[in-house]
Amino acid sequence: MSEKDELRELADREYEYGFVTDVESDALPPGLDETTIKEISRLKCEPEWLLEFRLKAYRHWITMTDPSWAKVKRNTIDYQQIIYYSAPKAKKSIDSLDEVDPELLETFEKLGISLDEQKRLSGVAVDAVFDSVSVVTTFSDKLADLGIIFGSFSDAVNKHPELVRKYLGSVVPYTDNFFAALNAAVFSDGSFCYIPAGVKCPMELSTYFRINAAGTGQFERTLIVAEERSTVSYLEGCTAPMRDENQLHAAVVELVALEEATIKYSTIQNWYPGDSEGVGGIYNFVTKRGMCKGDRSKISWTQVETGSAVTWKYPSCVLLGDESVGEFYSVALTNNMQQADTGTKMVHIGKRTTSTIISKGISAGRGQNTYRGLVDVKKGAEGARNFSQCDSMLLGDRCGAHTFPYIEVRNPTAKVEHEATTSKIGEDQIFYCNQRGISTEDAISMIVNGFCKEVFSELPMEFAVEAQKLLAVSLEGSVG
Amino acid sequence: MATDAIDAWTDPVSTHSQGFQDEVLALKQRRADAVDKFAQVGFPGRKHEEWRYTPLKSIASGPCSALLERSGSLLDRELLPVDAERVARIVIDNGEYRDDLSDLSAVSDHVQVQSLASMRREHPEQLSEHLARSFPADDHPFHCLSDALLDDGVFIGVAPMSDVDGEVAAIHIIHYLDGSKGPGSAHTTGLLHIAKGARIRLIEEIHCQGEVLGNIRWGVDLAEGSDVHRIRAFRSGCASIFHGSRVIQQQDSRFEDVFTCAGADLVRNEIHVLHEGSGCHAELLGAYVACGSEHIDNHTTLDHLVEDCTSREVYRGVLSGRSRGVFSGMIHVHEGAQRTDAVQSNDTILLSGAAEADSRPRLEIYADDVKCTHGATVGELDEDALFYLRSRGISLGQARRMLVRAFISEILVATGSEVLSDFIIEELQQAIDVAEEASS
Amino acid sequence: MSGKKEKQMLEIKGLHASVEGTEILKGLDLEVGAGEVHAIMGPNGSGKSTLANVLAGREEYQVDSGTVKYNGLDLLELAADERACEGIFMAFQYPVSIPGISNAYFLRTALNALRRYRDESEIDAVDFLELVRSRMELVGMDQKLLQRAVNDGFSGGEKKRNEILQMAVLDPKLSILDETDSGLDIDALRVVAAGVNALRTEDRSFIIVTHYQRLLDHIVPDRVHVLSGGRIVRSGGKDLALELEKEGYSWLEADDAKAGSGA
Repeated sequence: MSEKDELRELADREYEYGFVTDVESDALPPGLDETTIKEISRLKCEPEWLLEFRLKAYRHWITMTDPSWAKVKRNTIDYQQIIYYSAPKAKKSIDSLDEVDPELLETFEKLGISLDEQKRLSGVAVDAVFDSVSVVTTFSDKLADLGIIFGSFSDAVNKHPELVRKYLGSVVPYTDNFFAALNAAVFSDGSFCYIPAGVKCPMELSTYFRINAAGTGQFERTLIVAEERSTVSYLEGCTAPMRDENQLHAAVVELVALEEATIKYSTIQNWYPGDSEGVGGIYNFVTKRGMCKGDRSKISWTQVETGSAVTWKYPSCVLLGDESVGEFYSVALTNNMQQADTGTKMVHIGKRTTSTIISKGISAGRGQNTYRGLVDVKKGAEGARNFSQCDSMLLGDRCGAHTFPYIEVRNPTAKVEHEATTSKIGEDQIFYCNQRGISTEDAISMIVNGFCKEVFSELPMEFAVEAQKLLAVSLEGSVG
Repeated sequence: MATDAIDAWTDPVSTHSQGFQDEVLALKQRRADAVDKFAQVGFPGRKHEEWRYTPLKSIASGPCSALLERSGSLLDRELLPVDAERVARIVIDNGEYRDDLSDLSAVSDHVQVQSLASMRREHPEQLSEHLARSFPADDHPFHCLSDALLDDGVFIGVAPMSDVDGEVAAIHIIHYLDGSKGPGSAHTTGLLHIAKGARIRLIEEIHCQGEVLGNIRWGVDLAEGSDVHRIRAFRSGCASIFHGSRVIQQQDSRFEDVFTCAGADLVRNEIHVLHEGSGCHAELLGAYVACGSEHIDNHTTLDHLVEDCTSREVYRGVLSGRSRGVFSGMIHVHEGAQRTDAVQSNDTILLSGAAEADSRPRLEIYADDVKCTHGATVGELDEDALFYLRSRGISLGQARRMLVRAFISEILVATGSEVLSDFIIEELQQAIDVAEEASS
Repeated sequence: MSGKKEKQMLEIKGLHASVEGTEILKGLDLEVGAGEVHAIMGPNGSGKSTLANVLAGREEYQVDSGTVKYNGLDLLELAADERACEGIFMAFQYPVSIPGISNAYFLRTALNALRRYRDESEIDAVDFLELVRSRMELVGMDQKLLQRAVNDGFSGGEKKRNEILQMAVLDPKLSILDETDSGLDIDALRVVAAGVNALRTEDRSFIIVTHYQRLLDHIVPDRVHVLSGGRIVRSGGKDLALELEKEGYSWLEADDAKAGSGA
């Protein structure tokens, strides 16, 4: 079999996580108005202040227009056709894993996520979110002993309203952008995480998101607060069934790091990318922002983006505290008709703040990959430092790789450096590897992994391996 | 946003444009379209992505919406030292091509120079064709103004040289923008057509007095294997200048541009290069200095349309006071433009706490076998280098001076003339010295 | 002379090959026995590199007709990586660089691919390092180059040594050296030759493609062939190389009519 046939065959392999789980769900009818929002709030038994927050966001959202500045082509979204709330039918309350619908457990098993604490590697606690609702959280008792709160957002609203109220919208206000406003109005669930002062979280915290029901949008909200001198590493993963429609995922993630706290947030995004002709797939329009509020605090974003039809996200850091540190490590891969417009914003406000941006974009098929990043050094940011490296790799001659950095410096003591390169995998490189006995597929995977290694090395060990595999699978059929 | 412009500019533009009655249809149409377009778009505000960093408010409010008239006597300014070269001189006085002051004796017959006003009268169809090719209709406010108010400027056509001595023809173009009789604007169109295998060297300088807006655009057409080397000096004390070039290159041609600016209230410097034939090279270099509340805004676009072309861009700025320097570059490698090799870099030194640098070196790539790199740095003078110099007994002030000079000198080498390079460096240096003194 | 060969490793018969529609090899015949060293010489453009690339399985080189038997296998049926796994090694004239992949990682991946092919277990990191270190000494290569990206920023000499190092580690049966001597100074040339000589055994064969005789001062061939116009026009013992060195290739033109008769 020739190189090309082999690759073509691999390319025809389908998205592995495209199955649909048959669970009964409670869903609101499609459409959005104040009644929908009141209904979501009622279903979730929310306090009055939260309903107010939602309504204010909604009233702001209807004054805004769907933005169009990103370098992506997409269908217009009919916001009245989306189901804003869908939850697996719950048995009154879930006290142990035995009471969770076995279909759901099986779904997560299939995704390689065991929710059974016994079987689970002891190093990771998981909060599983299915459609709009958090299904189960593992290890929460063990974490509670340390004073760590980790669980669903709804739970936190009821059990720790003072914390949620204090930080909700403090990093990403509902006025921030169109999708953040929409999320604030209709968000259904998500994860909440609080690390008390001085505590180093002993295990990886992880949320696994799954969109299942047709016609639904997923609007989860994640809030992580790290008190002084605390440390946490958090990972999110996501998949969705294969459907011909475009489903909207518009999440908001807010991180708050107080003095000397460190938050490491890793994402392995594998939403359904649509088929090879660009039909279906998730629109992944996410607002992620971290606030380095305290001095010497640190927020580090690592993302491996291989899924979604359209990705549009800029995990950002507001470096408010003196000597705070922001990092952004990204691998974004677009194959077939996928489009990604992703990057970061590093806003330097505090003195001697530093930021590092390492972005690796891989374009294959007819995929379009755009890095868009802002480095903004404000007047008071004495001695701020930024280093950005944005590399693109093109596989094939029908894809695109674009780099749009924005550098704005208002302090003369700042030092900002930006570098970018573009490369490809040459036929001669593949032949060289072939001649040494390495198959074409392995050669591509090896070269791409080499290209991404600075980012993978930032991921927790276990997930770095997963990321490499994911990349190899997503690349299949891209050269030939 | 546009309302100011509509009040202050639309009527004068419309009135002026009606001053050209008996024109050929094509030119008339172009003028009318531009008037309409300008009335629609006006001067864009900061929400417009391409104008995000350019403050047009003061221009839009309209003090310069009147047209400047021929000045009585030319400004008394020291010109660039080009005497060493065999050089022709063209004088453009408040937008008017001055036949009486221009001197073309130094160039031989292979260079054809004609004022745009006379071309407009004598060969309107030809002019209209050139304009259509060099400046396709768009909603750029300054292009609209140029079209709506098209009056004078210069056409330069260069045939391959038959001279035995092989010396490259050089033309020195001097723009005077004199607002001493009252504020106003001048709109000048230049056309440069280089025939197959021909070469030319252009040295363009701009002098301002008073509150003026200079709107200068060039349509440059390089035939196969031709070569243009252009030096532009925005001399100290410039007011508001828009300077735009659209450069179309055919196979194996070479375009080199060295832009220098010794300070101006507001500069928007735009170059758009299109590589239509393979084997082209474009070199875009810039050195600029801004002080006080000056604003220098550079926009370069390189359209690599076909395979095997190369480009190199280096823009360097030194900013002091509350000035602002902008670099917005775009390298666009189109589908099929394989083996493109493009380099883009922008370095800025901030000398003061209130200065601001914005840099957007962008790449848009649709071909896989390409080499594209870009880089941007912003910062103070290198402390290690400063220390090194001081440890050898050089004073801090002197050391700073030396490093700034070295920083801009690297660009000026490309002028190809030591005399010219030294002169310009000295002028840039003086602008910095004045600013540094004022701040200390 | 070749009649008494007991074991034939490579047998090329009537090989025609073209690149982008231009025929380069025009009926080439060649036999290489196990343990033999054959030198292929000839003027520029005679098809020497084409032969090397066809044997290694480069896709741009189109085989139009003819057969190539390698240890009883139909070589032309195999993909490039399968050929490598079967023991064919090509030392490239211009080794490509692969940024981002360390030399050590690359070599280990290749070695393990070969071992998997032979149903052997993968080599562990310690054994691998030991093996590579010992082979690096053999070719006089700086250990630091192991951690550098494959051929990235290597000097010409370093690249060629790296090819020989890979050969020494991968332990091929048939090595094809494509103009390995070009651009090498005499010291590097000696190192390359010493590497090859150290690997000479009864069951390893070499095809050395070269324009000049000087490499053959250090690697003494069993047979020398002259390639011209896409065919082998003359074959002989090691003295033929010396003869060529003296006479150059100009006699080929005169001999053109008789081309092929010497093979």
